Amino acid sequence: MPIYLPIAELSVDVFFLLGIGAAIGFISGIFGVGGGFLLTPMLLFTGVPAPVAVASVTAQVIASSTSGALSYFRRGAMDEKLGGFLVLGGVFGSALGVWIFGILSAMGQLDLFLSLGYLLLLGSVGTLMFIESARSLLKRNREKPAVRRRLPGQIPWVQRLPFRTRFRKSQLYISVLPVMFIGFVIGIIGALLGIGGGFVLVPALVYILRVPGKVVVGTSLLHLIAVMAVTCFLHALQTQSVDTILAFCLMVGSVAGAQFGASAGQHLPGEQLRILLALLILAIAIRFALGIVIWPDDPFTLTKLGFGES
Amino acid sequence: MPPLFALLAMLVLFPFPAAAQDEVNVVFLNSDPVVAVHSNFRGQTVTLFGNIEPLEGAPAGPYGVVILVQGPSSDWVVREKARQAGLVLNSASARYAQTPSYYAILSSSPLAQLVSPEIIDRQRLSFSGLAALTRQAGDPAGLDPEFVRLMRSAGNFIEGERSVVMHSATSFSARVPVASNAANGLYLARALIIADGKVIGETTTRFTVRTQGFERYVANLARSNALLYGLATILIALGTGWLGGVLFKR
Repeated sequence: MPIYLPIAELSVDVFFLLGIGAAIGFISGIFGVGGGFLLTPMLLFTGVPAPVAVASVTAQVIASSTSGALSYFRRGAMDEKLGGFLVLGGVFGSALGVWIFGILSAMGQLDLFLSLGYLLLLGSVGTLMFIESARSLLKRNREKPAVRRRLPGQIPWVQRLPFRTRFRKSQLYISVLPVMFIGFVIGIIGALLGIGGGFVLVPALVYILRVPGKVVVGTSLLHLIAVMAVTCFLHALQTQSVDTILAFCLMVGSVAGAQFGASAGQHLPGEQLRILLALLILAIAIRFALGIVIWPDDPFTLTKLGFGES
Repeated sequence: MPPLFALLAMLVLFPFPAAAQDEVNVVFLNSDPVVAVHSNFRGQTVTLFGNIEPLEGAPAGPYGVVILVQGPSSDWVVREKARQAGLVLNSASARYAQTPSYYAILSSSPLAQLVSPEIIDRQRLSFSGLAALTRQAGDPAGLDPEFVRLMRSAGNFIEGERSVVMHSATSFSARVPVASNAANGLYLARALIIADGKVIGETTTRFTVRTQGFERYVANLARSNALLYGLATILIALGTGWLGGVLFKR
């Protein structure tokens, strides 16, 4: 059943959209990641124009983060004050990201930038994940009790920054500057690449700020919703490339898929799954690498300029 | 489409050259004044038909007919990829401002047999001429053939050397394909009657392509009221996420 996407200006099978939404929702449910970093590449490979793919996935990330965030909020596993400072930085990052996005689009280098950005991000994250999960898999096979890895010590210069404040729920007394800076950086990446950035934000909160595990996921989801909402809004205003119908089909698929993924994740062996996810991420990174190295069949492209483009 | 939009679409249509002195009257009609694009629209054919009524002293014929159909104008960019430092990236580009997003040149026999190159040039009966005309000053002319090729393969430029069928000495018809990705707006069809290599009469007919229903509403809202559209999208996303959480209790 084809459905016409009014902003992307193309017809796609509605079951295809629900299907990739569900598949990525399932994966994100298993691993507790947002899924934007898988969804945007899928849309790009499908032929959805890059601005539409990036802008529409922001709406999908809001939906897929909301149900999780609500359940963490009810359990009190969320540091709203820490989240607030993260979002404050994130809003500025998002605005800067959307602005850069417009410039790249006008220069005609958006596709190259997205390919390079994803290659770098997915390549490094995929490699790290692969090494880490392979190591822990080997370790577990050798000796039964898994050695709890000690968290690295406090980073001294982060501790010396001014504007320190108390985050009661996280049991932290730290400067707001690194908090806002992390939010800012994730905001830029999110707006440019069409991802929530949870898989970068969670490690940053844990390793740089030492946010305790019980509030880190809830706080990160709070940040994702707020910053993605701002990003979605700015994209709708500036590039006018948010395709609500596309986003809605993806949301419905992913919200349903995430529920099954979450329950399936509890019964599946964790380490093996992490290796599979790492391989999937690396495969997508390689696909992007090929795209910018292999000479295309047709070196000429035709683009119709939309509103606000020049 | 609201009246203002229709008016704007008319204004931005690429202007036709001035009409020649008519020696024949032409009745020219089309089968579908409005082509409605629904969500499962897969393209449609509009049939144009006409009749030639020679005035006194008109050349006796045989008559040839050229039909030119043009849709709403858009701005286009052609980019050429080049390899730099091992990476494939966009290099040269050419902009084509206010170029019809649909341009069909249909004729009853090959154009070169019907009219002289001067008339082809003056009446804009060639894609390369159109490209040269709308290309932004200073942009490389070398991309014109690529622009024409890409517009053709996208179904935006259509050429039919024998697509105008002469049913008798004076009556003709042509089928104009409207693709599923046709731009919304006013389409203008112009029939040129040719005798002895000269244009002896011409007339126009028009039809409108418009997206109907929910999709049109969404696309219009995204452009005319981006603020509301953005807020609505965020609310839909929050609502869907919340509903998902309620339906499938974790």
